[in-house]
Amino acid sequence: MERLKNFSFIFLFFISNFLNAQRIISFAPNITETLFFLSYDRYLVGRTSFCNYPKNTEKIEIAGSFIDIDYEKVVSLKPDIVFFSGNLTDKSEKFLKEKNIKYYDIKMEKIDDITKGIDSIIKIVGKDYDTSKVEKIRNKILGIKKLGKDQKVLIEVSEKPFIIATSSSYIGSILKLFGFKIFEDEKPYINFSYENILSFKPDIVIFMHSFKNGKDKYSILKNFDKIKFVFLDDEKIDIFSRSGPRVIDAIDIIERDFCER
Amino acid sequence: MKGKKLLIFLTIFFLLSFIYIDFKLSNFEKDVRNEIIKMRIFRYILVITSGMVLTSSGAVMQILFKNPLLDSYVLGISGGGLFGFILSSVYFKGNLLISIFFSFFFSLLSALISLSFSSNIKSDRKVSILISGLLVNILFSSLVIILSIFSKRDITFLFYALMGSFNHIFISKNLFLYISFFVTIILTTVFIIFKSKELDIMSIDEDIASTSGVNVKKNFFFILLIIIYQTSLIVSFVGMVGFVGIIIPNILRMAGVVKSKDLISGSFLGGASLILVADFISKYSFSFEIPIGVVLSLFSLPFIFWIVKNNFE
Repeated sequence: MERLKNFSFIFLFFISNFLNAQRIISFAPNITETLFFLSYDRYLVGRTSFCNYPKNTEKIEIAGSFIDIDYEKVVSLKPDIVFFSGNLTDKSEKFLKEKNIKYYDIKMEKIDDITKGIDSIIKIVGKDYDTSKVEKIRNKILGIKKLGKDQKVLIEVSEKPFIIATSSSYIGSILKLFGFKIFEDEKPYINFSYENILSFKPDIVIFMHSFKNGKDKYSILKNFDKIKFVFLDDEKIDIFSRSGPRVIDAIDIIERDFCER
Repeated sequence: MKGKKLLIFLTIFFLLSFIYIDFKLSNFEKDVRNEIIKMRIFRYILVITSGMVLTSSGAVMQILFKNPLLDSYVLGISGGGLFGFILSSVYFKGNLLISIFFSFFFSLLSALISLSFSSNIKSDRKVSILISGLLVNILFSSLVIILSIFSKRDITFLFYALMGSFNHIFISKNLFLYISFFVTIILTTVFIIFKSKELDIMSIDEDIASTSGVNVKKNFFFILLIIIYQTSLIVSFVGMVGFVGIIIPNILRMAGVVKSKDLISGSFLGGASLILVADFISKYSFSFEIPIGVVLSLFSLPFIFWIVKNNFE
């Protein structure tokens, strides 16, 4: 009798899930990662060509790119919900309103926004999820210790033009929690100059691009020999630029590679 | 274009139209096909209307200024129109009617600046109008970039606005406005065709035209005003699309079309077909849509070089 009860419960659970099936399109890699993390990938029907993590995303149809949305594709995928993450344009908004499709712009710009963003996604999708997974992220962020010892960190995003990530960026906000000193600015990414290098005098320089000769310009600094240069590979660049569940990996990398013990 | 030639051309045009609307339609599920067809038909109408307007206006401008390298893009009208459109969308939050009024006003302003610049350049009239148009275009393109930065527009918007794109979102509540604009374009174009005899006389010599009873100045400015209106309307929907107005009329002239009426009506079909093919390439050649201006520039530049070589020795 107990077995039959359990079976009926599981059967009804699957049926109810099937009947309430949502069709989701994600136009942001960090949202796609979050949907997979919450096991909501079974509702995911569309993504951008940039959404490449985890590997299973390959099975999801591409509905847009970094430049524009394929509106015909969006219509054909018949989504109930479309997610953006700070990249919702006036044009896309106009289109989704016209087609009566629900859309949400979940901004997860800093480390503090991640759990809020995940909570919002759970609320919007309204499906069951593994609470322990979300708790793990919460605890991991709360467990960050100030290991940075006030070292100044400069995060290079591109060489030409010379652009850096500030304390308002995702990677900047994580490093700041670790006690590193990051170039302060309201904007997450800003243009930088040689004069700025001289006045900031970084102890650590992180390269989020593949231009290996980038460190030559720091030879103007007296402490050049003591500067620690960290080159991130493509996977790590993604981890540090997509604010989402892989914040756990980001925290591990910082603890392992950046902090002196 | 008469008889057999016209029939062949029309057949090709309708075949292109069919491919444009039907392409990979079977890939979509049956229940969404109608929605996709609806989206494609709206875009198709925009594409062929733009092609017709930009090409015929190019042909008319070449007749008015006796310069084979002119069109609304080269004269700076498109640049002014785009600036006006973006300016109004910043201050009036995308009200279509106000945007088009602003686009028309700044198109007119840019045309006047171009004409005034060219009259002050001590050079051949053909060259001076090109230089002044180029300067006005640079001026308004720069203003568009500055305005977009200040209004925090995303960079993709700027990318597609400056190089043109037919990926326009049509709003059902604006349907009446769309139809009204379309009707005005048809009416003004018919008016220009009615004026083709005067254009023929004006293209020979202004003195001859005056002695034949044609009011040259009045006709010149009135027709120019219509072209500015038509261009500003198209720019408001698709951004800046260049060169199409130069290529087709010149090809028609090469094919022996001389009369203004034939040149303008031939430009309709030619322009619509060229833009249709270019838009098809821009839509399907990459994983994302490339601006129509990129495709047209790649097609046009060798041809424009050839026109310059033969006209500016």
